[in-house]
Amino acid sequence: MVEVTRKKIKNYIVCLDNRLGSGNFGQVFKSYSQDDISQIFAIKQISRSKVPESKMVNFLLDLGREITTMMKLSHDNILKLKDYVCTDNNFYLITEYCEGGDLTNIKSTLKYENILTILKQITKAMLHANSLKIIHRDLKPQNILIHDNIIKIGDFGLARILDDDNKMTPLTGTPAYMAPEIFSLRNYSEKCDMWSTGIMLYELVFRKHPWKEDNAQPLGEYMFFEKKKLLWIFPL
Amino acid sequence: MNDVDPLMVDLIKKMLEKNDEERIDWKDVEKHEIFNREISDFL
Repeated sequence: MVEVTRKKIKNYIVCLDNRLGSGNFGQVFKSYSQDDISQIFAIKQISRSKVPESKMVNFLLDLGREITTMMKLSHDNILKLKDYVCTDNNFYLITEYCEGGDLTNIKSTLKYENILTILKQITKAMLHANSLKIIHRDLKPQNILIHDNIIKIGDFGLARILDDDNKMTPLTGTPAYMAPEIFSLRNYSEKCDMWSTGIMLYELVFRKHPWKEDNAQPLGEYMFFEKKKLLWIFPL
Repeated sequence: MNDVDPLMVDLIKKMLEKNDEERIDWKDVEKHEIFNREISDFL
C-alpha cells in the first residue's frame, strides 16, 4: 500500500510527511502553493472528528474568534493568517511559514544581545495587539516562532478580545507560564501576557525555568500558599 | 549568575510582580532603561 504524503486543499499542497507541530485538536504541516512552489506556508489542520459533539458549538465559536483575531492583527512580529478553508472533515488555517522553528530550539544558545532583540520584538508585537484590545493568554517559547532572523508570535488560538471593562475570567493558558490572577480565577487583563513574557525572559537569561512543576496545582501552591519562595529570590 | 545585567533583573522583577495592578505594562517596558542601548533588529 502506498502511503499518501501529499494532499490538495484549495490551491495548497499539504506535505503530510512534514509535520511542524501538533496540539489538542490538530496538527501543523508544511505546505506550498500549487501555482508557485516557492511560496511556502504552514497549514494547521483541525479534525472535526477530534472535537466532541458536545463541544462543537463552543469549538466553532473559538475557531471563528481565532480567525477574526488573527485577521485583525497586522505586524511584522505576529504570525500572519493568510487563508482558511473548511471541508467536511477538517478545518484549515493557512499561515506564514517560519523556517527557524520556535524559541525552544534556540533558547539555550542565545546571546544576551539576542535576548534583548527578542524582548524588543515581543514588546512591539504586544503593543500592537493591545492597541486592538487583544491579549494572547498563552505566550510561551513554543509560540514564539523564528523567521528571517526575527520573531513572530503565533497561535493566537487562545486569544480573545477584551470585553468592554477590559477584564476576563476563564482559566486558560499553559500552567508553567500562567499568571497568578489566572490561577486564582480572578479577573485578568493584558497584564497576564506580561507575566508569561517575564517567565520566558527569566528562562532565557538564567537558562532554566523558575519552577520545575509542569502542572497547574503545584504551581498554584507556589504562588498562593507560598510554600516555597523562588521567583522572588533571584539566583544571583 | 553574578554577571547578569542588573537592569535585566529589575525588568524581570517588574514583569513578575504578583499583583497585576502593580505589574509593569508594555508601554513602560518599551521605555525601560534596558533599551537605552543599541539593539539589533535581527537575531
